[in-house]
Amino acid sequence: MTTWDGRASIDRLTYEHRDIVELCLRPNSVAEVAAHLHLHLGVARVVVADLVALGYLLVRQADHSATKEVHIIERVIRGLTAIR
Amino acid sequence: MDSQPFADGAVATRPPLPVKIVIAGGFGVGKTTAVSQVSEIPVLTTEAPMTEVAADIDRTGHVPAKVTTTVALDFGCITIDEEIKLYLFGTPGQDRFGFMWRDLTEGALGALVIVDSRRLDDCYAAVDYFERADVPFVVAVNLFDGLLTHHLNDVRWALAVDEEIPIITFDARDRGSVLDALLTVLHRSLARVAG
Repeated sequence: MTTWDGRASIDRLTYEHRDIVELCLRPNSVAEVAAHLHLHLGVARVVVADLVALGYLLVRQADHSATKEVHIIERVIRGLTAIR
Repeated sequence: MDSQPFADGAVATRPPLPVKIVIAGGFGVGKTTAVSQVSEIPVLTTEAPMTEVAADIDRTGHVPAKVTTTVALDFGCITIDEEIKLYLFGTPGQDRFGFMWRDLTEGALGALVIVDSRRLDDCYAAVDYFERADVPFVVAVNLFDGLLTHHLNDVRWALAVDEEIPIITFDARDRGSVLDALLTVLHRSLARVAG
C-alpha cells in the first residue's frame, strides 16, 4: 500500500520503484507485485522492503479472522459463479 | 514526512480480505495449468534458492517468518469484489514439500487435490495431510486427453478416501472446468462451516 509520501514522490522514482509505488496505490500483495512486474518473488520482497524503509510503502498484515464465515464463502461462490 | 496510507477516493485503505484455496498435486498433473486458466494475473511460479538478502527481509518481520531454502509454488488470484480477493496457491504434493503445507493451509477455505489417475501415488501424501489437518478438500482427477483411465470408484478405493469426500473429474486446460472444481471445494467448505 502506497503512502502519501510515496504518491507525492512517484515522479521522482524510476524503474521498479516507480512501478511498484504505482501498483500499490491500491492495496496489493507482494506476490501480486512480483507477478505483475515479472519479478522474481525474492527480488520483489527486497525492493518492497527498500520502499518501506524509504517510507513510500506500508506493509500490513492481512486479516484472516473473517475468512471462514458463511457469508464470506457465499460471496466467493457467487463471485466465481458470475465469472464462470 | 507523511507515511499515512494514500487513499484513492472511494478505494478503502483496508487491504482486501484474502481468502485462500490450496491446489495440491505432483509435478505434471496440471496444477500450474489449472491456476493459470483462472488467475487474473500472470501466474507466479517460483522454484529457487533464497539468498542472504532474502534472509535479511525475513528478519524485518514484513513477511511470515519462515526460512526456506527452496520455494516451489504457483500463485494466482481472482478478485471477487471490492473487498474480497481469492488467492490460489499451487503446491507440489510430494512429501518433501510437506513443510510448506502447514503455512499454506493456514486459514485456507479448502484444498483441491489434483490427481493424474495414471500416477496415483503422487498424491497420497497430500490426501493424507489434508485429512489429518481437517481441511475440507476435493479430489479432482485431471482428464488427460479427455480419457478417464480408471473408474472413479477405483480411484476412491486406491486413495482410501472417505465416502463423503467428493471425487470429481475435470480438465485443467478448461477455465470453466477449473472454476467448477473450485466451486465444488467452496461448497464443501460451506457445508463444513455451516455444519
